Parts: sequence; C-alpha cells; structure tokens
Amino acid sequence: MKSIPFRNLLALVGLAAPWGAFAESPNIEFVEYDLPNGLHVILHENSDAPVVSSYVLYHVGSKDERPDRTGFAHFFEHLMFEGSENIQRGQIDKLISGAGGNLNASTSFDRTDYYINLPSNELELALWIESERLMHAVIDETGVETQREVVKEERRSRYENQPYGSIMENMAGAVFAGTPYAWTPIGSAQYIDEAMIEEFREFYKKWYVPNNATLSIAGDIDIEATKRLVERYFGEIPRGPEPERTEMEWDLSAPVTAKRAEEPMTPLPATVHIWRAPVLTDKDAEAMDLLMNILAIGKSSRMYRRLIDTERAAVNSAAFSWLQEKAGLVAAYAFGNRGVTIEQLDLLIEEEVQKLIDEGVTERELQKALNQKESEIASSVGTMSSRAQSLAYYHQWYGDASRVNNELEAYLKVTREDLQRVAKTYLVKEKRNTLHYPVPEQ
Amino acid sequence: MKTLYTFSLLAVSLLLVACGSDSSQESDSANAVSMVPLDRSKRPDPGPAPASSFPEYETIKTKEGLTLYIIESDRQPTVTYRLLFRSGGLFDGEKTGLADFVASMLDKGVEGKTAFELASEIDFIGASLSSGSVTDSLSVSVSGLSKYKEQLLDILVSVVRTPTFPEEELEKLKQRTISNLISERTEPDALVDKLRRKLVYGDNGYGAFMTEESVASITRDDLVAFHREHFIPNNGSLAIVGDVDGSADRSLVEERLGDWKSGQLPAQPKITIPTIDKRAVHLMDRADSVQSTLRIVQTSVPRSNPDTPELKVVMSVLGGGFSGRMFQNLREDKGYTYGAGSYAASAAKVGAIISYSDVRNEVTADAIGEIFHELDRIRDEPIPEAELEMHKKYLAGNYMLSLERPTTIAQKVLEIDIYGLAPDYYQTYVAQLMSVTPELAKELANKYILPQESVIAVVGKREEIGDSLEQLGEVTIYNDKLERQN
Repeated sequence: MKSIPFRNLLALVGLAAPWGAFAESPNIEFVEYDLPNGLHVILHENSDAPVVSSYVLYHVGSKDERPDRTGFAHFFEHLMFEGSENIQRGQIDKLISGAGGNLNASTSFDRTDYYINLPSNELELALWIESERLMHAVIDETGVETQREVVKEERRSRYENQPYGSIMENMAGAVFAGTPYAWTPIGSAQYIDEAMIEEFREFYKKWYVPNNATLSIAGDIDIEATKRLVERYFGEIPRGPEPERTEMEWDLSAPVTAKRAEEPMTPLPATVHIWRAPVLTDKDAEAMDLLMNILAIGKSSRMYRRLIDTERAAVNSAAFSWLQEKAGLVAAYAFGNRGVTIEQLDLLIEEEVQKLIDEGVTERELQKALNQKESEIASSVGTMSSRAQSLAYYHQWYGDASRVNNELEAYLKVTREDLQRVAKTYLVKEKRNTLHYPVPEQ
Repeated sequence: MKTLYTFSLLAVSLLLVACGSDSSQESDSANAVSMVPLDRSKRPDPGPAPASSFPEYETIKTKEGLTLYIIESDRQPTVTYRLLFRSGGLFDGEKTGLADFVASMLDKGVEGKTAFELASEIDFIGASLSSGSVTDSLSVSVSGLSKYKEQLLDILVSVVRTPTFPEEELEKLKQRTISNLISERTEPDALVDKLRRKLVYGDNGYGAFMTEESVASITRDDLVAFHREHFIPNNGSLAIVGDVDGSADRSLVEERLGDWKSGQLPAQPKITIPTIDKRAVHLMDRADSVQSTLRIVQTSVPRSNPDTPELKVVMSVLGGGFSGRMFQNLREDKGYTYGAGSYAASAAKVGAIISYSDVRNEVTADAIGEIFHELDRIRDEPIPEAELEMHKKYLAGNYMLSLERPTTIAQKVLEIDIYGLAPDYYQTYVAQLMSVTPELAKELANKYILPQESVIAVVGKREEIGDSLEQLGEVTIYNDKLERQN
C-alpha cells in the first residue's frame, strides 16, 4: 500500500467549525403575482440551458377526500391526462413527446401536482395544455373505465405485490386514525369502482379552479413575455367558489396503537416506531427534522452505528419526519438480519430514542446535522424542474416562496436545548405506536 | 398520471443563479400575437429551436494514464468526484459478488482510520460517498459542498488507494448481504431481473448472481488481490464536476495522485452466451403474487455497435415512455397494467432487448400475446412517418434536457471509456437519431428485434397462471433461489 498525503484528512476535523460564518446565501430570483381569477404565478429566469419547466400545484390531496371515496384525488390525477375540449383523448403525452419534452404528475395527502419539462421554445405548449386542463378537461366513460383498471394495477404493483408494501398504509392508519390522513393517496379500489362519473365531474368543478392553484415556471424565459402569455392562456378562466375544506383537529396526545402485520411474503423481521408530530409549519418542525438526521442519516448516525454496525442486528434502519399541512408523524424503523428478533430491534431503537430524551445531543452532532442540511439544500435545486417545484412548494405551504433562498436560516436557529425538548415532547414511549412485520413460520 | 409519491419529499431548495438574462425585448412572439384572440383549438407554434450542443469539457491524460475530465458548472455550490474503473462483475471469476464486495468495503476502513472515523468525517461536512459495481465498471463517487473540495478529494483518494479491508467488517458485510439475498427472494423485480439475465447471458459476469455460497467463499485476500490488480490509474477515468476551477483543480488532483503508479491492465475474461432457438417460458413460482411480473428478452449487440443511436429510435417507438406502443397498447388501450415498455440494455460485451410489464394474474397470457404482437408489428409494418418523427424529437429533446445536469454530462463522458464509444459519439448523437427514416427503422427492426429468439421470464402465481402459460411454450419452473424445479 502506498502512502498518501494524510495531513489534509486530519485537518478535516478542525475545519468545519464556526457555523454560519461561511454558509452561503443562495439567491434564486423570481417574480410572483396573482391573476385576477386567483391563480398564483411564480416566474424564475435562468438561461444556463435552453430548457423550461412548468409546474402546477393544486391544493387538493387525499386528505380532502370523503372517507367513502378514498383514492379520488389520485384517480383524478390520471383523468387529467385524458384530454380537454381542444385536445383529443390520449394526445397530451404525444404532444409533449413530440416536442422533445417529458411530463408527469403526483398526488400526496395535501396536493396534486403536474409538471412538464420542455425545450425553452415550447413554453407556450405547456401553457396551452395546463390551461386546457384547468379550463375544461374532458371526463368521459372511456377514460374513467380504463383508468379504473390502471389504478388498480398501480396499487398492486406498488403495494400489494411487494414485501412490506402495506407499510405506509399501516403507518398512516395507526397514527392518523380519526383524521382524513388515515388513508393514503392510493386509496381503495372499491371506492373508485363505486363512484359515478358525475362525482368525478363535481370533484373537478370544486377543486380545479384557478384560485386553488399555483403555476410556477422556471427556465430560459423572458419574464415580461411570459407574463403576457400566462395572462393570455389563463386569464379568461373564471374564478371558482373557494373550495370548502373539512376542518380537522390534530390531537398530539391521542391513544397509541400496536399492530402486527402478518403477511406471507415478509422476508426479514421489521419494526416501525411511530409518533405523532407537529404540522409542517410548526415552530418545532426544523428541530424534529434535525433530530431525525442525528438519529439516522449517514453511517456515523446513532442508529446506523448501534443497530447495523455495533450490534449487527439490522440490515437497514432509518428515521424520518413526515410532516403534512395539518398533521405529522415521525418514525424510526429497522429491518433485522436473519435470526434477529423483533424484540431485539425494538429494544435497540427504544434505547437510542431514550438517550436523546435523557441526554440530548452533542454540539458536534448538531453541527453535523446543520452541515448535512446545508449540503442537502445546496444540492436540491440544480434543475429548472426542481426550482419551479420548490418555489411553488414554499409559496403553498409557508406562504413565502422566498424561503427557497433562506430556509437554512430557520435551521440555524435550532439549539441543542430545542432538540432535547422536542425529543421529550414528542418521542416518549407512552406516545409511541408500533408496527411489526414478523417473518411467517415456514 | 403515473407516479404517486411515497413520502412527500421535503422539497428543499436554494441556489446561486448567474442570471445571464437576455432581457432584450425585441420582437418576442407573445407581443406580436397578443392583439389577436387566442385560438385554443390549435397547438401553439414553437419559437425558433434553441441552439444546443454537447457542453464543453476538458480532458487530460496524466502521465500515469489516468483520464481526467473537468466539467464546470456554477449552478450550485457543490462538487462531485466520480472515479470509474474498467472493472466490475465481469472479473468476479468463480466468486460471484467479489467486485461488489470490493466496492462496498472501500469505506470500511482506510489507512489510519476505522470505518466509523471515516464516516464521521464524511458526515460532518455533509458529504456523501457512494461506491458500487456493475458488470462493466466499478465506481466511487464523493460529493459535497465546493468549499470542502480538497477534503472531498482526500476522502476519494483514501478510499481508492488505502482501503484496509478489515476482516471484522468483511464478516459484517457478508451477514448483511445474505440478509439482502433473503429479502430479494421475495421481491418480484429483483427475482425477474436475475432470472432474465441468467436466461440470456448464462453463467458469466453478466448473468451470474450472488448466492449464500458465493458470498461465503469471498476472503480478505481476494479483496486485496482484486484491489491491487484493478485500482490502477491507467484503468480509470475521473470526472470532476460542478463548482470547480479547471486549472486549479487539475493541479490539485495531479498533486494528490502524482505518486499513483500505473500497472498492467487486468486480462479481459472471455464470455460465452447461450443460444436461444425456441420460444419457452420460465416461471418463478411465487405463491402470493397478485400480479405477474413479465420480461420478454433476447440477447443483442453491445453498446459500441454503430447502430446504437438509430436503434434507440426504433426501441422508443416500440416501448419508450408514455407514447411508446407497449404503454399505449397494454395500459391505455387494454388497462392490463400500470406500466409497460421496451428498451435495449446494452453493455460492453453484449446487450439485450427487453420488454416489461406487471399485469394482473388473469390477463398474463393475453399481455404476453400483446407484447409479441408489438414485437412482430414493428418488424412487419412500416412505422408511420408522424409516429417516427414524434419519437425522434422525443429522444433528441430529452437528451438535450438531460444535459442540464452536469452529473449527467459526466456520466455520459465516462461511458465513452467504459463502453469503448467513438470519441465524438455525443457530438453526432442527435444527427444520428434524426437520420432515421421509415425504411431504415424497418430494416433495423428486422435486424435487431428477434421475437423468435426471445424467451419469456415470469415471476407469478403458478396456480393461477400456469395453465395459460403452457399454451405459449414449454414451461420451466424455478424456486425462489432460481433453481430449476423440473
């Protein structure tokens, strides 16, 4: 083995210290405004590459569904690819493909989003398609029947045919019981089958209105020209009634649950610990996020070190916060090595969480988590698509698109005391829900 | 339409933009047309096509034979070092998984540091290290904020040049690998991909997969020997990507790697590929499947084949993206599936043409029938001009869009070395795509798409689909270790 210059590696330890001193301030310039019909518009210009990304966020997700019509928002997302009064059924994909672009959409608990990426000379195509979908999408029997089958296959592919495929539904079902977050966006096939076409049309009328949407465009555009185009395509769409939303209470001290998911395909023992957590914009949200990082991000994190490395109990472990508009959860999980028991895994996670509560974190751990956050933030908006999406995200949930440039500041305010207080407030054993996946007896 | 977020990713954000705005307001089209009422019945005309070319980058060959690529982009304050060796699973020999183990063990201890000490340093600056092996290459990547670029390079150098491969860490990795193998025996996609590779590539680096026995056979001496033989500068290419300064960073790398001596390149293993002469079905019986996971597959040409870009156009018509025939037929017309497509998976020494879908049990045989119908149709009927044009533009446009990411540019540049492509491959790529005529497409389809030499690999529930599969050809049954059962 050859020698290498060592000094620099050793120097690492001393280097990353005084925080904030050289955290870089990002600067994504944008303009934003409302059209008279309520559509919120955000534009960002960058001419590094001849690309443009359009992103439309509708403030409707699975939590806005009726309990006997779960899966509706997501099903509707599929229908939005069918066509419009001026675009024939099945042409949306082809128009974008033929322009050299790509598109997709997704549905979460809180929102449904649609994106289109194109060469920058095709901006108008994206505006045409998105305005057609918002103005007069066509919802007919053929489309509904086909997509019913497609969505059932999606559910099978992603969840029913996979080991641990029910994990998300079980987590949400346990922690969000009694709220509209208790079901997941994929919903129930039964309800999609039961729904009448008129219900889909009503759903569209209620939620797909300009005053419930954000249009975000980033790329090689001219801001003033784009403003005029947006007005031209979206200006004539009438404002709708403000969609009425179901009120919900988020009770952080609800009774806990324990579930054993006996499933024939489970290959390795797994356990998930889940706690109720604050909403996305709560004052504790950043502290919670950092706490989960300290617990499980990187091979020097507490859970990796203990469960995977030292004790050799787990093949994989993680912890994350999953904070939503009106509810939240945090979870820590482990998949055990063959021969390890669920009880062993439970005990190890419990001890690591208890240490956070009893002893808090070290100054160095907090710095590490902040450094990781800085790096994560810096790496997350390299493309126009990610910029358009982030701008809309921060506008929608924080009412502040400029958070795209200063989110790190919110994290830098977090202290070690905050982290320990948050651990004590939310992560105590009495508030813990458990979900177990035992390996079936052969 | 097509995806559903599992965990809503905290869309985090920010970044520096150099706004090179060309805000000159000359006759922009919006201005010109805003006086006339909007005609919504017609697709808007595109503006003039933007000029686009493969971004410039710097290539340097060091005196010890390492190829350096420098790809500058100040879009975000990060740097990625990606080092690729012309190594990988092809060189495993009898011990399948050896190259993978070497890659996974690189950060499990380096000269002067334990795995934990190294991980602590990496995590503390918010960096990430990843290493992995595929059949044709072994890669190590280190990424992080550009203000730490020297430390990032030092991390790369230490894991590449002075890994210690501790016995204890090897034992831990073996235990986790075996757990992962157990897990994969229940995962339909992992199973079907192993099965189809075994069927078309046979028992070499492209087709073999790890087993508990092959994992158990790997020793520390094997790792050390593999590392010594393969980790030499003249066997590698290093891309430096992101917020860097070409000349300064070049000197830095040359300084850190100056004493890394070249050596004799590893001998290229010979591989033999099985011949497939009749349509047969290979079924891994997964008793609890609620869908059949399908792959229709044949062997094909390696990546360096001169027709590769043109063949991509044909494959896109057949099964690329949402507008490909497989997706349109199996999903949008029949409602059999959530996804379906076809692609050419081409490697350094061999390739494959693969069609895929996951369909509900009761339509398994029908779906396979439709896949073969599309394979036959693209050979027998000329592709309509408009459909062909759409796919050419789809590929060319998305290729251009992909170059927005400097890491994608790096990936493409490194592929030139791994697959032995022409040096101007990416400069001529779009012109080659656009040159495909219906006549050429048909010729290529007949030359390369070979339904008669394709096999059917299925992971699914035999009890429900076995009888219908018998109608398609002789059915061989496999267990979850993919061992033949009949």
